[in-house]
Parts: sequence; C-alpha cells; structure tokens
Amino acid sequence: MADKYKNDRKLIDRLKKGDEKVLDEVYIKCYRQVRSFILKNSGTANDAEDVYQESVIILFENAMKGKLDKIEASVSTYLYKIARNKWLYHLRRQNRNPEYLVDIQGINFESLEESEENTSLQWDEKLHQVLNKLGNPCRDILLDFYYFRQSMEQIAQTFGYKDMNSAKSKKNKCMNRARQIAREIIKTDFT
Amino acid sequence: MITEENKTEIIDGYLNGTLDVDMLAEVEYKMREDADFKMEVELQKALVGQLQWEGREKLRGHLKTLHKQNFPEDSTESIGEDRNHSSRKLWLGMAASVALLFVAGLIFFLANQKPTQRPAENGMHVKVPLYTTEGNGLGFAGKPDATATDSINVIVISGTEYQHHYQFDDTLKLYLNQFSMADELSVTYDKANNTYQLLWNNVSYEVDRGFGRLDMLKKSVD
Repeated sequence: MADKYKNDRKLIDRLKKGDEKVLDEVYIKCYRQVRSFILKNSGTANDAEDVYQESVIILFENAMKGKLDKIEASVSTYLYKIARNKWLYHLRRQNRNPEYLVDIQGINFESLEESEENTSLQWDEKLHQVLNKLGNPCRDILLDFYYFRQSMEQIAQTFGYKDMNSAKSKKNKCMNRARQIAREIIKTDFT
Repeated sequence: MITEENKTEIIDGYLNGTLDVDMLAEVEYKMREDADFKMEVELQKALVGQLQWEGREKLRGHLKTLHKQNFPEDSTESIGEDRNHSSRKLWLGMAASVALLFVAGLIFFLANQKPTQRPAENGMHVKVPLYTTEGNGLGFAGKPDATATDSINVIVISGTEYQHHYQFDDTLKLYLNQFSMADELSVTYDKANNTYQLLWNNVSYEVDRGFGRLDMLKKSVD
C-alpha cells in the first residue's frame, strides 16, 4: 500500500533539520483554506491572520518536539484542524461575556490580582534584561537551542564552530553566564 | 556526578524529564540539600521559559512579515473592515429597525387573532394511536388501512369558551364541550400529502400541524 503521507513526513523532517523555507512554504500554501473557514464563520481577515499564525506556531513547536514524526494526516489538514479548534474556542469564549462575572462581596479581589500580576511582570522584565545583558551570539545560540530546537551540529554550522562539541561547550557556557547574571539581578533588585 | 562542567546539561535533562533513575535521584537529593543548587535549577527553568517566549515572538514576527509580503490584500481588507465598521453598524441598525417593525406588526396581527388567546389548559391527557398512510385515505368504517406504528399525546380540554377547536404542534389539544374516556380517538398521517386527520367517534376532521394556532375542527371532505 502506498504511503499516503510520505511527503508530509518529509516536510516535517526538513523542518526539523532547520530548513527555514519549509515553514514559509506551508504557511503560504495552507492559508487560504483557513481564511475561508474563518470568514465563513463570522471572523475577519485580521482574525484569520492571527489564528493562522498561532496555528502555524503550534505546528512548528509540535514538529520540533517530535510530535509529528508519525503524522497520519496531511500537514494542511493538521494545520486546518488546529486553526478550526482555535477559532471555535475563540467563538465560545466570546459568548462568555465578562460583564456578567459577579464576584463575591467583601473580597478585595482586584488589588490581589494586580499585585500578583505586577510581581510576575517585573520578573519577566528581569529575565528579558538577563538575555539582553547576555548579548550575542549567546542569546541567539540559546534561542536556537531552546526554542528552535536546533541540533548542536546545526548550531556549530550556523555560528561557525569547528564541531558539535565546541558548540555544546559554548551553549553551556552561555547558560551558565545567564544564570549568573540572573543571580546578580535578583541580589540587587529582590533583596 | 554533578560538576560545574556538566551542570547545565544535567539541569536540562532534569527539566526535560530525560535523566536516568540514578541521576534523577542525585539531582533530587542535591536540590533538597543544597539551596544554591536548587536556585540554579529554578533560574535555568525560568530562563528557558523566557527563551521559549522570545523564540515564539521572533517566529510570530517572521510570519507577520511573510504574511504582508504574500497576502497584501488582507492588509487592505483590514483597513476596509475598520472603514466598513460604521456602515456595518448603520446597516445593522436599519436591519434591527425593520425587524422591530416586523415583530411589532406580528404582535399586532396575532393580538387581533382569536387563536392567540390562550385558554385554560387543565385537561385530560390521553395517548392515541397515530396511523401513517401513503395517501390511500381511510378504509372501512373510517378506520385507516395502515396499522398504528406510533402514538400521539392528546390533551382534551373542556369547559372553556372554545368548543370544537384544536391546537396542534407537538401535542394535539382538543377543546371539546363534551368528551368521555369511552370516546374513540385516533390520528392518521397522510405521508404523501403531509396532512393529518383526527378520527373522533368515527367522524374525521382535518387538522393542521405545526403552527400552534387555535382553529375550529372541520369535518373532512370525502
């Protein structure tokens, strides 16, 4: 029996190997279908773009985590399904009108939420500062490793290290340095 | 063994859940005993989270640029959407006004129709056989040729100002001045013509289903 999704799996392989063109190709190829679905279901072109981009990001992340290695559907169907679910979720949430939320009297809910949120935002901002302070190429190496899930071989090639061991050593040094900067920031700002 | 050289990788393994049993036990022990090491783990976890967030934003930025380049018509439509927002509002307003007029007219029409006056509904609930025919009409002595395959709920209401009337949607309501449990009732559905007939003590009446109107019972024309 012919393997119906062989080409789709090849596409995923190329994506995992860091072929940047693949995601662009998929993005351009499958957009119209999702756009048409959202426009037919009370959405706008803006909604279609936002939902589609979120869906492509999920496709990418799942592919890089190896969740699509044995995909039994076409990439376009998979993408359409994610976008469809996202849009349905959005429509359901829209029906839940927050104006109708009734809080229990006597609880200073708003001040509690704000103070927690502020601490969280401050912490995110500090982490952002750590990465800024770390600078390049460390920041890009860590991004490629931790988000884009590039192999050490690919990182060595991109950043011009002689082999994967050198790339690995550099990546570990970068993370050690990031932790050290984070510690210093905690010491000065949170004590 | 955890050293300065392998610490980052071991923490990665711990966060990804890929450590072997022995190494996992060592990490967990060290986290319990060494507050400094525990903090290193927490910091790395937070930094990886931040890197993932920033990576996602970077990818989103790339996709936005790609979108603008390949689907420029969407940007135009977005502007159009904004511009059309007020005209859409106007259109919706007009449509709402028309709908309101229609509803007001309908209420006025129905209010002037006797059937909408809802009579008291304390009645006798009976389940009567529902026959289905293919348009052959009634057979001997007014009984349908078909066999009863289903039943229908009938409420017989007496003692109201309405006599000899009916309402028929999910339930058939009969407004009769006199009715006893000994009376024979059945309903026949003519599938071919999509019509219903009520058979009451061998007399056949045509009944319209679906509108819930209060109508007078009229004998079927043979």
